[in-house]
Amino acid sequence: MNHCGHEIKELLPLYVDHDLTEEEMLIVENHIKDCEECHIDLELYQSIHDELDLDDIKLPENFHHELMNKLALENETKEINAYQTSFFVKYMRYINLVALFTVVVFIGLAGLNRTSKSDMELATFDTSTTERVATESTNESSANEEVTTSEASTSEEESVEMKSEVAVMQAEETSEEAMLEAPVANEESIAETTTENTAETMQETTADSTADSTAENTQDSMLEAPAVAVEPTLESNEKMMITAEEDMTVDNSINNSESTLTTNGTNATLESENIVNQNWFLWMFGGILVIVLLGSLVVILLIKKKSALNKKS
Amino acid sequence: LNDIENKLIEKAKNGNQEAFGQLIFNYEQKIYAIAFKVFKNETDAYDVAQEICIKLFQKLDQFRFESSFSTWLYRIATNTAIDEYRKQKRKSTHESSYDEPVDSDNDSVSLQIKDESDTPEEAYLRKEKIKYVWDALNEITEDHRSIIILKDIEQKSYEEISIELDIGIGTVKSRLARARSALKKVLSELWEHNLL
Repeated sequence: MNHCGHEIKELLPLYVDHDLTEEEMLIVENHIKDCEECHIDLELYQSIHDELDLDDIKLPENFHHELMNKLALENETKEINAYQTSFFVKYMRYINLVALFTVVVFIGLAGLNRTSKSDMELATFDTSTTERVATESTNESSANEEVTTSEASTSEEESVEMKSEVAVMQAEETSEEAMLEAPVANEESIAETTTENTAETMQETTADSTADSTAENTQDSMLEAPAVAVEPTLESNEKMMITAEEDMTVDNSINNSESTLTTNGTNATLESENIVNQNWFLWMFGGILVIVLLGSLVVILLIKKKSALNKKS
Repeated sequence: LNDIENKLIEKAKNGNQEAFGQLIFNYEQKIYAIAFKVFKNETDAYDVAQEICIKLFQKLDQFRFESSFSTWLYRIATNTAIDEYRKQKRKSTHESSYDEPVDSDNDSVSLQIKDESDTPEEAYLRKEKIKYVWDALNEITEDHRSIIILKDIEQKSYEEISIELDIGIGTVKSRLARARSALKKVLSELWEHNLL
């Protein structure tokens, strides 16, 4: 024990390698003969050395081949896991739900839009009918001017004729008063009447207006006629003059009515075009959504199939 | 040789499976042998060795060239083998009839079958101590472990170690002596701790 120096303590661990010089080997061998503790230590070093010596164990033949197969599988699984944990796939379920919901909403909107489109088509039809009736009224009014009578084939025109007669009667009664008024005032009155008629026509001639509105305008115009029919020249031929004024006023109102109707008709056409454009956009949007939905479903099916194959393998 | 190995490591770190195959090929036998030394049976050793190799591939990006690749590799190999052995031991503690661990509550590695042959007491105690050598190897310092792996596991000569570690042969010898002495000391401590 006492003679176990530093040299021995350093040589003992290296003795097991059999790589010491002959002199060093002898020193160790001579020492362990007398020192039991160093002898035990040497045996322990040898046991450790033997335990750590791995050369005597043979590797099974298929080890490398099987390892490479496992690594290939591991790599595939890793890729699949990476893909499955990606944002798109992770939230695929929610994306599908949102897409499905959007498609349902789209179908609902498309249905609603279809209904409103039908309404607009009906409105356009009404407007064209109004235009047609207005044109007919104009033609008839022109005929009245030529014939200078209030005969008409339609009921609306009969009404106009009746009103004209009433106007003539009123004009006769108020002829003297009318004579006192200045021609300038009469002119202003005509202008005012025309403006009022135009305003009324503008208000009444809407997208939902029908041929009746034109008739009413005509009637209104005719009713205003007495005020207009206060011409100084009524002394000799009051009836003729009143009729002429009436016809002029009716012409003005019809012209205004026609222009208003044309404007409204143009607006209706534009709105109709807008709705068609909206429909086209909605259909395209819906189509894209359906494609996305189907695509995501296909991706999910592929992933599941691949996962099943991996599990099997 | 190291340059080739380093290139393979770099490629394998980028996920190149073929490069990893070439890299690990030279170490497979040692890895399997470590597993066999720990488990003492071929089936478990085979499965664990495969697991160790896969783990090495997965952890390769953690290798920073701060130590030699073999040192890093054997450390992971011994750790994994010991961990797996402990797991297995915990599972089969109540089942084994011939297994006689020194202490079932202790995490240290033990051999499965007790040698009943008529041996001297020292030899028996020594064998019992050796059960903890793989544990002890992970308890010593990195320098000591590295040089023991190079000399005892990889069976390299002093000259080869001297070149690899870029130190003189005298330094290799003295460092190896200290490393073995440290390993023996840790082994004895583990053994004594286990007896308590």
